[in-house]
Amino acid sequence: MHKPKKLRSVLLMPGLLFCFIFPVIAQSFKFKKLGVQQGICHPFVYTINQDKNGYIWIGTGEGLCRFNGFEFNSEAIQDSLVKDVVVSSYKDSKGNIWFGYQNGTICKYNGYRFLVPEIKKEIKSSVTSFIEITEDKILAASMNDGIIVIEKDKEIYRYNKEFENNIVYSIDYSDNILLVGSQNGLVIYSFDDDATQLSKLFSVNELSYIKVQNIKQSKDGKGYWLGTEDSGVYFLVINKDNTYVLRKIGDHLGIENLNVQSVLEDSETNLWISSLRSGVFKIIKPLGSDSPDKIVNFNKNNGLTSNFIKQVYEDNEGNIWIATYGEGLAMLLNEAFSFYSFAVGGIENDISSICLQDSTLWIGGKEGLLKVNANNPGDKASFRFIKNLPPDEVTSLHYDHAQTLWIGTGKNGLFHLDMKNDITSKFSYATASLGHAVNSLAGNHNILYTATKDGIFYFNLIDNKTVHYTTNTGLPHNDIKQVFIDNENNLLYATRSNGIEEIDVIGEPRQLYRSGDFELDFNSITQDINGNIWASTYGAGIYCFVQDSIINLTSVDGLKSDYCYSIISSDGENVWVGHRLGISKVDINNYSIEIFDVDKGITGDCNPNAVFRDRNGILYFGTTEGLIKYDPSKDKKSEILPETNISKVLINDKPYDFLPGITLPFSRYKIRIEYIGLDYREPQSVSYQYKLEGYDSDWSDITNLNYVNYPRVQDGKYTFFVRSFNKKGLSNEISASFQLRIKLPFYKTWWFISLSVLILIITVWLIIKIRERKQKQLQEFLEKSLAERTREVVEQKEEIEIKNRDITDSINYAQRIQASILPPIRRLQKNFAGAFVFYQPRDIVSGDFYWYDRISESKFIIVCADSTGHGVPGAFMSMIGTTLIKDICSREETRSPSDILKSLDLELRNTLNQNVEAEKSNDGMDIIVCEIDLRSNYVRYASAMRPMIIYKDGEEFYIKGSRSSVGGHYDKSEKDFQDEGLQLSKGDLIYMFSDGYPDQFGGPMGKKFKMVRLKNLLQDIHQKPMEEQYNYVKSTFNLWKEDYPQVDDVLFMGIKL
Amino acid sequence: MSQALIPKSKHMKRFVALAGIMFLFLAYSQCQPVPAADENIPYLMTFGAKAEKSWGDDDFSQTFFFLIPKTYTSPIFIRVYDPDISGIIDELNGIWDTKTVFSVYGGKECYSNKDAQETQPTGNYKSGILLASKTFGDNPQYDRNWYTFGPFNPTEGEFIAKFDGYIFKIIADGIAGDDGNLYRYYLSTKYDENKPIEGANAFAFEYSFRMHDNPNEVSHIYPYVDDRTITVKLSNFDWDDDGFIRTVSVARRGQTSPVSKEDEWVEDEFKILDEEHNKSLDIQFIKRKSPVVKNNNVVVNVRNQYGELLPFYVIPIGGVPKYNPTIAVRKPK
Repeated sequence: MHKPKKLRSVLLMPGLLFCFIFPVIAQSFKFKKLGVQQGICHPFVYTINQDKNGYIWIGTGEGLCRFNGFEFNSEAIQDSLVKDVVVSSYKDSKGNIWFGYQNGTICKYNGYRFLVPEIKKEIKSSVTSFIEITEDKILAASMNDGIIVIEKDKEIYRYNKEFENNIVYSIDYSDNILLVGSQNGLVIYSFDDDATQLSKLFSVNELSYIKVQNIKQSKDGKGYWLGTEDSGVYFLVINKDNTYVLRKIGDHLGIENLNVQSVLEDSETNLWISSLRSGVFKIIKPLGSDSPDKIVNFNKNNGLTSNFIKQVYEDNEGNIWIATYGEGLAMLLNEAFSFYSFAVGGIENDISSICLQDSTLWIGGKEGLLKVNANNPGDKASFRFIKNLPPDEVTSLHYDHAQTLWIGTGKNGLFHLDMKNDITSKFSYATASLGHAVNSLAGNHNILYTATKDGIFYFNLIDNKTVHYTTNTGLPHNDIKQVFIDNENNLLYATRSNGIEEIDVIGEPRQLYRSGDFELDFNSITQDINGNIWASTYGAGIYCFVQDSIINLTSVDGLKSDYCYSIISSDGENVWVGHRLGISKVDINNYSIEIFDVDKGITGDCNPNAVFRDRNGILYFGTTEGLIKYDPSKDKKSEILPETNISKVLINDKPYDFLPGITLPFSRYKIRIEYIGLDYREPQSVSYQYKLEGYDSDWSDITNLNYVNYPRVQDGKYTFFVRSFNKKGLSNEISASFQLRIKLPFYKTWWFISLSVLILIITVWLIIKIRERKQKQLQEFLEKSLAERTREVVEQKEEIEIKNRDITDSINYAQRIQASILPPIRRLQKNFAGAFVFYQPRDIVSGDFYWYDRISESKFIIVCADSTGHGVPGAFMSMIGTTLIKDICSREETRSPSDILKSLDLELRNTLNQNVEAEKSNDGMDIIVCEIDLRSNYVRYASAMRPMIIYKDGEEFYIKGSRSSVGGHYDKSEKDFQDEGLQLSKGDLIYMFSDGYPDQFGGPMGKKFKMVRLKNLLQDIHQKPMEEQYNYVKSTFNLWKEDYPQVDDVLFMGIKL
Repeated sequence: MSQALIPKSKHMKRFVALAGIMFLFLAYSQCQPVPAADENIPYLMTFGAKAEKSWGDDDFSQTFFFLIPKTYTSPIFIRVYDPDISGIIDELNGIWDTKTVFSVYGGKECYSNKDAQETQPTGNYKSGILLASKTFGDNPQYDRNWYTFGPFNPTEGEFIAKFDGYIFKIIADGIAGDDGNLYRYYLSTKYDENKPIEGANAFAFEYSFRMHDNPNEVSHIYPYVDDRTITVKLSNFDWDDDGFIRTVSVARRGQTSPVSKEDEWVEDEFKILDEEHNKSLDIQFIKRKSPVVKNNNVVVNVRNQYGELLPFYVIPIGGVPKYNPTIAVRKPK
């Protein structure tokens, strides 16, 4: 082997100076200690078992207690069970646990309550063992009271005689063979399933006078493990021809004379031996060849609390529980971690660097270097301390291909240990003092990279070329914390920078990955199996540089701390990060983080870059409290999900037995439900989700609280569900539940509602019936009343009819009278060429009236009047008017029509006392008086508010008349009635009419006939014969009126000169 | 005076006095080799069942009780020195064909059962719960070596209120052969060394033991005399007329008792003085100088006027009694 010239040997002592010393070294295992301080009910633990709900049950010197991962509870035990020593337990195929007491008591726990089987004769000695022979049949072995056959919780038989003068310690059964271990060895009996025939087959001669304290059938069913007092463990195979093969286990391994209390074959077929005095032994592949490296002894010297062990038990999660005799319970923490302490001067458990060379583990400490056996770092015989190094911290170690161990020190630079020639030398290179402060070493073939506080040194060990990289040559900082060679032989280094730097193939420093804009204290680099670079920082967590992205994981993401001291990739899919008082394990696929800290037995601070991974993937961590070795092949990855249990239900602060369901009377309740997810490995990581069906609409958010309060729960049916999640967020599909029923108030019960509905129906029916009855009565009353009223009405009607008839008769008679005083139409027709009078009273008698007469030889007076009112009053007015006009016209002094009107007005008012102010009668009449000179056909006329239409030579003349009517309102002023005259000719026509014709409603639109339509009518008919005109006027009126009532008396007169 | 005639207040006083003494004794005693140093008895002795009684063992069985204070909660060990039947310590008769079973009992009635407090191995003298048992024969592994029973949980013993502690019982039965098994006990806190339990004690109601061969050695037993005791009857078996027996107490300077000859019981009854109440007697076994008797095995027990056996505590209650002479002062004439 060629060494560089600069490698000048500086021998502090000739040759390799190993000094054999007597160090205090030890391997220790970490146990969770559950003693009196942790609340266990008694420190003497005899037996352990796990019930179907997942709780751990412990039989102690003062009875049973239950463990849930957090606390022990002896309150769960039935009061009737004595607090005596529980010496044995057994879980049958149904999940029931049988407990045997020292005072002979037997009890069974079915996961809900304790049952004490009926025993015919009191058992006065310890119940040492149980075995199930059929589904309902259990054998219980007692020391001095024989073997009891229990079927359906009753003793059905007891084998006494067979075991007289013998003390039975253990039994086992399979294939109709019963093995009985006693004070005097092991006897095999044939024993059928009915437990009625027990006959001895043979004794195991080799075990005569050896107390067989424990018998367990092997997992593969091929034989039985036998634990003996002071004679260790045997494996017995019984052949079908009742011959047997007995083999001593662990002969020459120091367990030949163990006082074995119990044996356990775990799920990985390792054999665990509980011994009094020597702790626990774990034998890997116990039926293979005996070799020292397959046996592990857990005892007081390496972390176990006691050497007196009654039982080792493996729970559903694969956790190993140890029942100690006097120190409570212990649970073996992750066996993958081994802890080694080196209380050697110079090391004193503070390990700064680690390096493995074949089977030699080199450990650098604060003031020296140790060489230990890598396969068994606790092996004192292989322990050597190298003394010829300066009293300086060994900060880094590197083993190169030339079998040289390079040793970096804190102040004194580099040393190398030539393993071949046993020479230790100082490796000199020119630098200032900071260059001798070595932080890290890395090598590649003949190249050695040295990270110092003064940059990086490149040493070519072939051509002695040295390159010193500093800030002057492009480094971002001179204090290089680590140099790391990646899979492609690139040199990466960690320093204060804003990324990971490298020295490229041409020897130029450059930045490989950029972490951001800010400088970070990168201190360690590793590369995972996918080739991604990871780097740890002091204060900013860790970074993963994937091709196109950067992932930064900090304490927020679950990292133990942002202050990291080392990082290393495992062979698997994890990256490990060293912190103070803990290590973080990062999954490189999903970046989930698992923390290993004090709870897992790590009590020291990880030293900077004091990590190493060997070829087998075993990781080594140097801490201030010794060496931690992590063997991933021993890491149990239990995927057992936490068993969820409801532990307590408080209703209005009072505990209730909830398993059979709770039924409460109606009220409002405050309910508190406590529950637990049983995870013994990491109980704090369990989280929960719950739902009170009937109250909550959906599952709650995931919470770490193991209780829930419902402040006001009212009537209804509820089911409470709770499920628990392990730290990976996985949960059992089956959740724990119980049912709660709060009774309905009486007014919500079906019977009450039914009754109410029934009552309502009956009430409604009754109301209807009553109403019907009343209605009927009312109807009868009304009918009766109606009949009476009808009768009255009929009578009144008849009376009215009579009266009406009388009145009508009277009016008709009055009409005759009125008609009789009206001048006959012949008088007109006689004096004129033609004439007609359309006279149609509204109510038999009329207020309208006409009068005409030849008052002299040549003069003919025609009067057309419309009295106020109609009917009888109008008739009265017409009578008065006719009488007065007739009288007036007969007077000599009457010279003109206006005189007639004036006289009529005066006399009418006199007649009706209308000149008296007290009388407020407005009765009067509209009237037109027409005087015709028969010889000259001169027409003189005076009108009081009545128009007149004259056709003179076919031309229409509309005569309006004065604006004063006759009679009416009392007015002191003189009324002015003027005479007007018109010379007519033969054949001219005079039409006079009351307002009843034009005011009549009718026609298709129900409107008044009006004057216009009347004028048009006359225009149409004035040339017709008078008789035709009469018919036309009459028919036109009736057609117009049709079904409308006649609004007023109608008078229409036509005279043709 | 019968017990029934004792007023209740007297019973109470006695109980209080006894409890006080037990407390003091438990507080200051440290068990526990059995036989203890103050007894100066070389070995306890149990012969095989086929042996002649005239060889010194009247019943081939010996019972001892160990008392553990309630306050002690760590595992305890009962160690037996030379439990096997071979070697130079044990007494050979023909060939080594004897088997001795040592059995440790605890639990209910291991002490309180009347049969357990008798001298003869009859009735339910194996009362209680068998905690451990071991049969020894010709097994050189344990010749002049210790065998350890235990660990035992102290609460596995029977709790006796008047002792304020738990009691374990160990019975040595010679079940076969005719050899004499000589052995010693030690109540220890350690499995592999003799480390006394603070406050513990051991006692028996009958001693079967081997006398020293050296005539200058004096062996002692210390029966405890309570205040109900008026007279005691000291019985010894198969003394072979080897010297004499002398009783010393705080008020007794040295009262000799007759000794038995080969295969016979001899009794000596004497009154208890007031000063001797609630104290131990020191019964000394003083060998004859000439001719020297070797390999002498004897059995001793002491009963009171009711026939009840007085317990011999290996650590005498009240300490080893010393005679306090009373000095009479005469008035000058």
